[in-house]
Amino acid sequence: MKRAHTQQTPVNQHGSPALEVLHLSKHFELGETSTLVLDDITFSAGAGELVCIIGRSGCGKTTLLNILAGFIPPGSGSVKMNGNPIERPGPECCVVFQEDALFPWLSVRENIAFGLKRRMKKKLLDLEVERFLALVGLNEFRDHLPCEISGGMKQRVALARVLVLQPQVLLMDEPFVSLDYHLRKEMRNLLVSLWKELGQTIIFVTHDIDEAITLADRIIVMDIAPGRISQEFSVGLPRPRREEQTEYIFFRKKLLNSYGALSFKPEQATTRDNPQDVWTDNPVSWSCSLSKASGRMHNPEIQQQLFNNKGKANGEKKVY
Amino acid sequence: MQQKKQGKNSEKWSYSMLPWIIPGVLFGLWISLSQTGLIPSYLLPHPVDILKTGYTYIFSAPGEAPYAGRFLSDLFASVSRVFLGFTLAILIGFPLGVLSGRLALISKLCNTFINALRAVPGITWLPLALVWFGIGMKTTVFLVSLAAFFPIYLNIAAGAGQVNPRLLQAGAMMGVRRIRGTFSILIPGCMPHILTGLRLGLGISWAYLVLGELTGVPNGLGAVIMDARMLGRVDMIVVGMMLIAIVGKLSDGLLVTAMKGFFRSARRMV
Repeated sequence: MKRAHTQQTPVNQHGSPALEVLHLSKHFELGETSTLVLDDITFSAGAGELVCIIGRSGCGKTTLLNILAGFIPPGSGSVKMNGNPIERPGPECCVVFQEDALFPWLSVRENIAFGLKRRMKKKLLDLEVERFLALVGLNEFRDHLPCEISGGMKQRVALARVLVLQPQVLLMDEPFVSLDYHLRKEMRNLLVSLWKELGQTIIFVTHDIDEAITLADRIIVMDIAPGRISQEFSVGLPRPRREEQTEYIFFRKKLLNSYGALSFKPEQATTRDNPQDVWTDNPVSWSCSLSKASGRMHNPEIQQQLFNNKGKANGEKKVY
Repeated sequence: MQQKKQGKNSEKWSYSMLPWIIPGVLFGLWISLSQTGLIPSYLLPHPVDILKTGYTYIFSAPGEAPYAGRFLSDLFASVSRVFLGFTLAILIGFPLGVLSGRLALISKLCNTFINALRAVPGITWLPLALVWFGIGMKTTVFLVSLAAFFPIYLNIAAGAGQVNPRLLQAGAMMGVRRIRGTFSILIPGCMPHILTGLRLGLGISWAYLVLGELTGVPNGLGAVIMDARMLGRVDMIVVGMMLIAIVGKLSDGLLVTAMKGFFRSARRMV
């Protein structure tokens, strides 16, 4: 099945986008306080489109996916699939989770067959399971338990067990985040080839910019606290995409420039608990500030070093 | 890899001996203490005497000597009491535990009462049980099921509460709703807890069996021990204790084997 990827949102035979989110907001109540997690999210995904949602940790990506999957109800606004509101989880809209969520007491084959049981006759089921085992390349590991296979294989099983249900929409919540660099690349390629063959709509949530550029037809950027959509990019790059292509690098720079500037507003930094965290940002030292801002660097020495480098890059001196 | 495997094979024999080291050492100590006369036989009889008494109890024809040949009927009486009481405890504890682990309403409703009840020592139920059920089968079954209920209920409730919610969500998105999900996801998902609860429950069943049989029932392993105490037959007491240990261990093994035979999840996760 080959489809032309156009810039416009393709529509299906129902005349409405496969997935449509309109003015979605969500509060979480915690005791007396109520936190706004998602603020007026509106976007849509056409049939067979691969949309990546990127944003920093804590911007509500997972909450958004939980709502799309029907695990939690939307606060206000509406979420529709083919024009029908999503009220509860179902096989037409499936999730590949960030963490391992395979059934540990079932073998690879049984995990993939789980959702198909009682849906079709045994012979047909076996054929389908065989097909998807082969598609994700796990034929030799069919009788292994989840605890006996690697992280990458687990995510392939997780992918196969939902693809076998032929969902119209596939939601993926940072599924490759715990895999190593090479495996992640491999899994992206696998995903793209499966997607080309099976043609679902995919909503792929990630915080990895390269992952988003490699995969997406369209990239939606979410802003942090409260989560709202700040920007949208169409990725017009030809496939297969490689990180060393000039267009790729150019697009990446463009994305980073706006994404980086958006995510590191100075006034946002001042709201942090530690007043020493205040600094302005520029795209040149973006990676430094990313690690700083995402709280990964707790070592004051490293922070100081980063800070000094930063000062040099900016050509100015700062005192803590 | 190959080497490691070989090493494992050669160690296999000594490894399989591991569980017998502690009993063996204790037995040796016992023999030496009895042989040297450091412990008088009215406190702890010589192992050879114990073996003789045990042999008589198990294999001799009834009437040949006191306690001769009573073992099978005692065993049958005790096992049927444990079986009935334990089954009753499962029938109540299992569903209640699953419900209480998943539904806040049920756990709120039950937990205070059950935990208060749990604090009451089982032995204090004995007089009341005697008044209610009289001496015999019913009292013992009541005590056994009461005692076995708590570990079963608590472990299963904890297990059901801790099942990874992602697994249930995954089931829901694959079209498995509540009822089927309970049997195909929830129960397999907390199988390690279930098995722990059942094993603890069965173990405590044997303890309370003896308690129930100490009150003048004519047959059963506990009754034999109590009878021997009154007649001053210390050797018979020790034989009774050892037999309970063996039967208890066997029944535990049988329970685990049966669970693994019936449930794929027990086979693969425990």
